Amino acid sequence: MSTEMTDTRDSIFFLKYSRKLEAALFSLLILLGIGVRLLDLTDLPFDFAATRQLHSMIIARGFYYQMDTPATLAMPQDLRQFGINASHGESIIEPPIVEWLTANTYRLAGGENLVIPRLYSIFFWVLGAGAIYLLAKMLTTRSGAFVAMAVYLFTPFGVIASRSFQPDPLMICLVSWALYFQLRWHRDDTWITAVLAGVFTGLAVYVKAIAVFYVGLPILALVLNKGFKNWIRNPRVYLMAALALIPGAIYNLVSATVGGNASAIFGTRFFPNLFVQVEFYAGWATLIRGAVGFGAFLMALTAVLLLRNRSHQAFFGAMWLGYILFGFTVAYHISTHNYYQLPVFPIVSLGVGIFAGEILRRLESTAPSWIVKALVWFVFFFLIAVNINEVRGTLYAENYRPEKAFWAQLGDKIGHNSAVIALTQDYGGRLSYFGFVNPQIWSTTGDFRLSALSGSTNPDVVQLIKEKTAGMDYFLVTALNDFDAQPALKEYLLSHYSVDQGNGYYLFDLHKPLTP
Amino acid sequence: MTDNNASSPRWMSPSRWLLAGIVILMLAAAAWIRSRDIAAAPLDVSHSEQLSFILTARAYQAPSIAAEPGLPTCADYALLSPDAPVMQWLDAGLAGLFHADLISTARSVSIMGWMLASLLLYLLVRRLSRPLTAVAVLAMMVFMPFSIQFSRVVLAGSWAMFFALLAIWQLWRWMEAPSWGRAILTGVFGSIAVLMQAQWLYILLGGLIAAWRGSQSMKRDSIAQGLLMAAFLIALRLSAALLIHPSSPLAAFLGLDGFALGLSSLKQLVRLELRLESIVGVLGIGFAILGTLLTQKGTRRSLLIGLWVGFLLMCLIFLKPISESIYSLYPVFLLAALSFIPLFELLLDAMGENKLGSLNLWALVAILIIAAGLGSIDGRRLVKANPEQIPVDFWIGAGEKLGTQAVFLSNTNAVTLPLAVYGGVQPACIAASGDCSNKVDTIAEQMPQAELYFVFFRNDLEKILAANDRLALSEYHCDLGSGVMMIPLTSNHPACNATDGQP
Repeated sequence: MSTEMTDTRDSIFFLKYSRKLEAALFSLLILLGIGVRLLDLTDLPFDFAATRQLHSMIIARGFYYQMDTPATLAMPQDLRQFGINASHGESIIEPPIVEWLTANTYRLAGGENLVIPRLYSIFFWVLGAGAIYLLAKMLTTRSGAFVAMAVYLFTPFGVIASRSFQPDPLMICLVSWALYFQLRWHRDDTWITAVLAGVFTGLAVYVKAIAVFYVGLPILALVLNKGFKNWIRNPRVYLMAALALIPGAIYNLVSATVGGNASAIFGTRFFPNLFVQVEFYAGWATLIRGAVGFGAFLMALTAVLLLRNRSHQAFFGAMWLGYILFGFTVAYHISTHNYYQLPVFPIVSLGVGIFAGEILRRLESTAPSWIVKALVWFVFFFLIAVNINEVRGTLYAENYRPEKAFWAQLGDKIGHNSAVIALTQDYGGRLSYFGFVNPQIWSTTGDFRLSALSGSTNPDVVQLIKEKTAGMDYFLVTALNDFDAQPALKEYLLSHYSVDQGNGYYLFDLHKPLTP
Repeated sequence: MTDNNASSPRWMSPSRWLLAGIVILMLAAAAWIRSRDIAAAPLDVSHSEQLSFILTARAYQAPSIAAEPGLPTCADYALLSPDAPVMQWLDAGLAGLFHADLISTARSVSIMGWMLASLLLYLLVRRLSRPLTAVAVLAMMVFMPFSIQFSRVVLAGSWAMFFALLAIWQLWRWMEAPSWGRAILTGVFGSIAVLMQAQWLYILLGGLIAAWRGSQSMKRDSIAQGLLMAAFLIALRLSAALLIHPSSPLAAFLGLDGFALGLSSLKQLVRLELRLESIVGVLGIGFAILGTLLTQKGTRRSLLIGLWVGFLLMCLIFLKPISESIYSLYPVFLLAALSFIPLFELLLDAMGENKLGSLNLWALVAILIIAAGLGSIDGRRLVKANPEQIPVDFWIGAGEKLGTQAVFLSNTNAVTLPLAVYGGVQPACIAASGDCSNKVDTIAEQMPQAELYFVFFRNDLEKILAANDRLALSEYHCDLGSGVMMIPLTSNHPACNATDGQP
């Protein structure tokens, strides 16, 4: 690090550094970060990656229903058994840590409450902000580190995503801490830093295997940067490698073999044929824009060139390389599923922090007037306020609470033991969770597209309807736009079966054909 | 900056040929992206303004149509906008000259204006800073998503910005060394920009006041030159306004028509912030402020601050138009690009210390390509957006039902403009306010042989029938679909089937 950095390392946005000032600003950002996430806390979690959240909700409920508690013993036992069976039907890709934690907290709280997993996710994400700050402080100035922290905590997409019930907030938290300890190990090569770097890297990969792209390449870059002779003789490198790889490898090996989850873990993800399609890049770009915005993305990309220390450059560059490799590995998902952009948050936050740190360092060197200093403080908090306002608008724009009653009533209408095939939201997750009906799923247009990417040919619709409806009592449609997008299905069902059409659904009685 | 260049690594000063190649490639790629669907209907942004523009240009293209008494003339069409119809006249002439369709021609002219303004900015920044800074500024101007959208609209903004930039350049030169020649050039270029779009009046006046205050010597000449520039800025637009809008109040000339600060302004202020945010991003706003603060003290910074103050004043004055259309904010590109110059300089300084050497240049080229790709993809999304409720096909169908011989009136420009442009039906009345209800009797008497219709939205039915006896006594009115209805005025010319009509 160049010596000219030292002058601004001792200031925070032009104010002389003091531990109290640092702690106060850090605490303020953390409190604001928690506060903005508590807005509209009790709404149903359909505002972000609903399918994925329902998957975790069903698993957590299954764990909870397996526990003998006053609440689970008092509930109708057929529904309890349904919940347990439904959770067994969910494919397991990652270890259900957050789901297990949630179920145990349900027990302590005396019942299911979807606020609980949301609070866990918020806690994990905000915990990651500490790592981002410490890491950014090693790469840039304190002011830059606070900017990095603010980007991590207040980017609207990140705020909403960090409330979702899925392993990703925990993974992001662990990735951030792993990256921090990796850089600490690089700076102070001791047994403690090596163990911490190895443990957190291993935990990140264990929680979600795809984290290997984000923590694996940076640590590799740091190790290689120390030089061949150094790392080949360094036992701490081997310790770190073992700690980083063994938990995740064992879990995935056991889950794929003994657990029978091989297809869930490895299936339908790698689509090299997409690499030559413009739509793939357009989809990816659109999701980047929605997640962090192009400006921040490009600033963060440029930040690689702003680092003077070669190890830091390799480390940060490897983070980017991990993101790019990850994107090409899960090409379909990175261009269609917005939550696949979440791992870019630590990278972009750090990048913008480095970028801003450079600019503020230069500004400070011009001995700015107090008006300029005040303006910088104002801009910093104004931009945070703008983001909070945007989050507030997004969260309160939709109220999903009525959906609970809708699905519950639909479940009662259908009957919990009926055989149902459904063209419905989230692979039947909503109906299963709130309606206690476990439907067979009729593919959405997106599913048909994914099958086509995998090399399958779309079957004859009428034949498929006949095959899929055999032995079924009802055909339920709640994904109305998708129903319109499948005119052959719509025409067939409307012309062949009597229908009960309500607000937001069609329920075709397969035992009541219109024509004999 | 000279010192910077002297101590810069070699990779920061690529050869002239390489730079020229990069600039030409960027401009060619940017023009190519913008030229996709060049003849598409202008639905994506400022729909009404673009349709007004096309109608006015058509009137210049075929003034003979207006020879019929009772039909609006070119001057009537020109009243649709408070700005002078310079580009409408020019586009009409060019379309006629090249036998091209009007929308394609107008879009091409807009694109060319934006490209020239961007090139001009590149040349200006090259004088002020390093060549790579100029390339970065050029990339901002041509690849930011909204720049792709705004640069191909059928409006005069691109060329207004081109002339405004010429004026700013001259103004900056005047600040460095005041002279009558530079003052006159500033005034002339600025007056053309202001003539085309009122926004520039406030922005350039802001710059002018800052320049005046910041000029090295407040000699009598400088004061006189400053006054001359200000007079120029106002004179041309005022003359045009007196010529085209002699009966309009001065407020229209100043763009103050809808200006009113009140409770609703608070919501509009929030919307203004959101719109600025969507154009340059939250961080973009922050970094533009930082960039302005980082600009070297002196003439450049004074001028930049003046332009920003003028821009903010313009935003306050144009709150209502801005809340209706994001396009009014297009000058923000130029100001943001100017504000980012010191940031790009700083980044290059930092890169000079990173020991990557010429690898930096290739990394920057890669980032430039990624930026261009991301911007283009998002820009295309914006261009394809269609916020209009009623599809173009409906207006084409309505035009076919009425027939090419038909002439119509309406109480709203939301009907008049699309029916005239897409439906190809001749409007009998063009009113800046949109309401032609009060002209029904006059026009019906002036054109007794014409197939005259009154077309309106169904929601206005009762109001329309109550407003005029001729409309109320008409034999029937019928539904054209999409909430639009019509009444034949001069005789029974049933554009709808008789069964559709309601006696």
